[in-house]
Amino acid sequence: MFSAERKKADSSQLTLTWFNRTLMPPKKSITGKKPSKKPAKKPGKKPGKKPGKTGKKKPPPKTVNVTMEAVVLAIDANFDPVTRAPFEYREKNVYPYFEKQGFTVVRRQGASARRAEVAPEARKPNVVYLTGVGHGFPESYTGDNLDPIFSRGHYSAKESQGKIVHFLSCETAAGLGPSFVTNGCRAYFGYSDEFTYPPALAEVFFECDSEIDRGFADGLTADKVFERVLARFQKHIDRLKSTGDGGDLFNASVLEVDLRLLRAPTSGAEYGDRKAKLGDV
Amino acid sequence: MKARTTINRRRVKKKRRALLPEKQWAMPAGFHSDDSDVATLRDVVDPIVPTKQLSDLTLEQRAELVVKRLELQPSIELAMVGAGMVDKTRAIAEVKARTKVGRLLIEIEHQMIRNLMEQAQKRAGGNRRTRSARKVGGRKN
Repeated sequence: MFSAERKKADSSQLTLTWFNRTLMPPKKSITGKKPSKKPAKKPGKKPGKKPGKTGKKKPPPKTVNVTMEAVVLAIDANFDPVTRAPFEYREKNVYPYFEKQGFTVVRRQGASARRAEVAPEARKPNVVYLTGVGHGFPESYTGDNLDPIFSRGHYSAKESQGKIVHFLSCETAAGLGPSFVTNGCRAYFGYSDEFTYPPALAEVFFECDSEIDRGFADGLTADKVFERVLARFQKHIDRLKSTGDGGDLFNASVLEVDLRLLRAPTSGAEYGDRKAKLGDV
Repeated sequence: MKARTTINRRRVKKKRRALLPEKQWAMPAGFHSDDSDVATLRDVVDPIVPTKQLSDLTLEQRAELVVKRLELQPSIELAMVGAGMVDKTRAIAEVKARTKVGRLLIEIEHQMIRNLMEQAQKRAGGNRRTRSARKVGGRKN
C-alpha cells in the first residue's frame, strides 16, 4: 500500500518535470549543461534503507528546478559607416548563432547602446557574455554617438564579475580589458590598437573577429577560442597572399596587423583565465 | 578535348600566380645603403644592389618610405573602429604627423613590403628563369 502511494507520488513529480521541460524553450542553462534526460532520483528512497522507527515515511521533499537562462548582452553602435557595417554583419551572423546554441541574446543596439540602458542589464547575474562593436579608446568602450558605456573606474564590478567579454573595438585591450579582469571578468578579448578593415573586404575581417563569438558559443575555452581565431585569420591571410594580386596582398597585410593587435588570455594573465568558457560559472 | 581545356586553365592560373604586379616591383620598398634615396622592390630583392634592411630604418625613413608609397596609390580607403574612415589625403597627413593612426599605417605598409619581399624571394627561388626574363624585357602587368 505504502509502496503504491509512493510510486504514485513519484510519477506525478516526474510528469511535472517532463511537462516543464516540454514547455520550456531549449535555453542554455547557466551551468551550460543540457538538462539530463534521466528522471530525477527518487528522493529519500535508497535501496536497502529501512523506514524510520515510527513506520511513517516523511513526504518526499519538493524539489524546484530553477534554470537560469544564459544571456548574451549585445552592445552595438551603428551610428556611422565604420560601426554600421560590422553591426549588420553581427546581427546577421553572430547573434543568430548564439540563439541557435541556446543562449538568449539581449540587444542594446543603436540608440539603446548607451550606458543608462546597458549598465542595468550588465549587472544581471545571468548575463554571461558581453559583446558588440563600438568605437573604443584605451580606457573606454563607447556606444551610440560615442556615449561611454564602460570606462575604467566608472563602472560597477557587478558589470564585469564572472563574465566573458569580447568587443570589436579599437584599443580597449590597452586599458579597459585588464581593468575588467581586475574586476572579476573571466576573459577579455579585444584589440590593443585600431582595428582596421578595408570596406571592400569587410566581411572577411568581421568573420575573423567573430570567430571569437562562435568559439565561445560552441563552449570552447578561451585558449581554444584563440587557436580557432588564429586559424581563421591565417586561412584568409594565406588565401589572399596566394592570388598574386597587389590589392589582396595589402589586405592580407592589414589582416596580419589586426591579428597582431588581438589580445586574449593566451596573450597574458591580464586578459583573464585561459580556461574560461561559457557554462562553467 | 575537355581534359586539355582543363590543363590549359590550370597553366594559366599557375602563370598568373607566379607574377607580382609590375607596379609593385617599381614601388619604393626600402632605402639604398648610403641613404641617398629610396630603393624600389626590384632593388631591394636584387643581391647586387646594396640596400638597408627594413629593421635598420629610422622612424623618419620609415615614414618617408610609406608616404612615398601612399602617394603612388590611386586611392586608399580604410576603416578604423576608433579613428573612422581614412582616405589617401588623411593617410598621408597622419603618417607625416606620426600620429597613432599614422604609426599604424606605417606598420601596415611595412607588413606589405615584408610580404612583397617574401613573395618575390619565393618566386625568385621557384622560378628564376621567369624572373630574369621579366627583368630584361618585361614590363607586363
